[in-house]
Amino acid sequence: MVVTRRNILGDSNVRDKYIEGVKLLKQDFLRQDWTNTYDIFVIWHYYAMMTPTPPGSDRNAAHRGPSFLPWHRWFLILLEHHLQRVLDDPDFGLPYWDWASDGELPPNQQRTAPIWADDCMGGSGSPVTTGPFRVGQWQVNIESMGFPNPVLVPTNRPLRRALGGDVSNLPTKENVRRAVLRGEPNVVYDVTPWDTNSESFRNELEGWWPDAPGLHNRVHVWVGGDMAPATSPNDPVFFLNHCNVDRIWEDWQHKHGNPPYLPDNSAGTALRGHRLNDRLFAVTRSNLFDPIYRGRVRPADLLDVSARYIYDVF
Amino acid sequence: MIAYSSKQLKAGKPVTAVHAEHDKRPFQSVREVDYKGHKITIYTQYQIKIDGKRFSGHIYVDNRGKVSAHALPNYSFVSAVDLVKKIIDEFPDDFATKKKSYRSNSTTTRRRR
Repeated sequence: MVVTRRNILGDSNVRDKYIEGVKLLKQDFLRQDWTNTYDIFVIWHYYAMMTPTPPGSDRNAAHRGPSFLPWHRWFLILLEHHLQRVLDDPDFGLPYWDWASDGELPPNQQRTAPIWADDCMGGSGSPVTTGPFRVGQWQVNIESMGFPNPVLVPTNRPLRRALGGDVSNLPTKENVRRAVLRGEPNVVYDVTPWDTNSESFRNELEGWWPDAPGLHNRVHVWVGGDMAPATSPNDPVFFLNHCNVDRIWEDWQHKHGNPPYLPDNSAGTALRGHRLNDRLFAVTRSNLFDPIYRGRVRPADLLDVSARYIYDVF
Repeated sequence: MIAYSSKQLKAGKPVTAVHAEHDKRPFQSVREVDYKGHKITIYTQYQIKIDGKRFSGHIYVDNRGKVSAHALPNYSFVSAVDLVKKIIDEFPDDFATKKKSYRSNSTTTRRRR
């Protein structure tokens, strides 16, 4: 079944179901000896971040390299699957947050845009005290330490955000337009050195080039709080940000006639985990968590998702 | 990986990804650039202590000279000083005089419904 992914601000039914769904996943247990299903995504993201590819590299299994976009596309597909399951709604499509629209507002209005209203994601604070993820309504169970090294530790505290604390404004529509059209007609998905130094679409959308923090990274930094460390899926806004990133990638693919994913498998083994036919980093191969791919999926499998979902608009 | 992490967290223990064990010697960031037919390799190693205790997080340097670390994966800084200041700001519990102990969370694992 093909589902439609919509702007969370344009459909109150989708918005409310998303909020209900992520809360249900916090109480959902696929196996007796596993943490709740929502927190599996937090753990998976952390492990991917802590897996350098190759060892000693700046590039990790899901960031700072070519696999950034397909790995997160898989991540979203599985979250969407589990939301459909707990909501008992196979038509449910993950919503996105079109943050570039908010980026058109004056900085002081961006922090009070409709996405942060009481009936949507709630607002800023340490802890967050408004909206559906306020104190008592949402619990962070796992966090990453900052010092002396970023190990994962259990905790039991409310959500934290610091909207506009580290950068005053979100990316703009012009920032997105430039990334999507850069290099036209010779657009390129990614290039050597395949990391944060690459002058490529992937690296611009991830937010390391030409100015950091840009696009995706800038949204993490602008939201701050629990969106800052490697455990950033702790904030449900994480998935709305990445759904928008995925939408921009889909737009780029569509506009330019599906340019090739790079690197292909003729690239050296130093790029293992990022090449077209390499398996992406899995947290488990259990079909309880991943009944779609069973933990075995390649970037090549994720380039055409039209049989699975579409976006309402680009 | 999930079962191990769940068990550790339920027991109130940290989960250490292999890489996050961050070995005893300081991490070395390597930049490689080709320029006019020449291969340039630049090795950078930071040794950072905060209140006398070694910071063992890996610090990466990109070709623009900006530094970043795993603890704040979406950030980059013009100076390692700024990076460390931000880590102190973002993780105040890790620098508290009396360290908080990890708390086991009763909702972390539960019977399958």
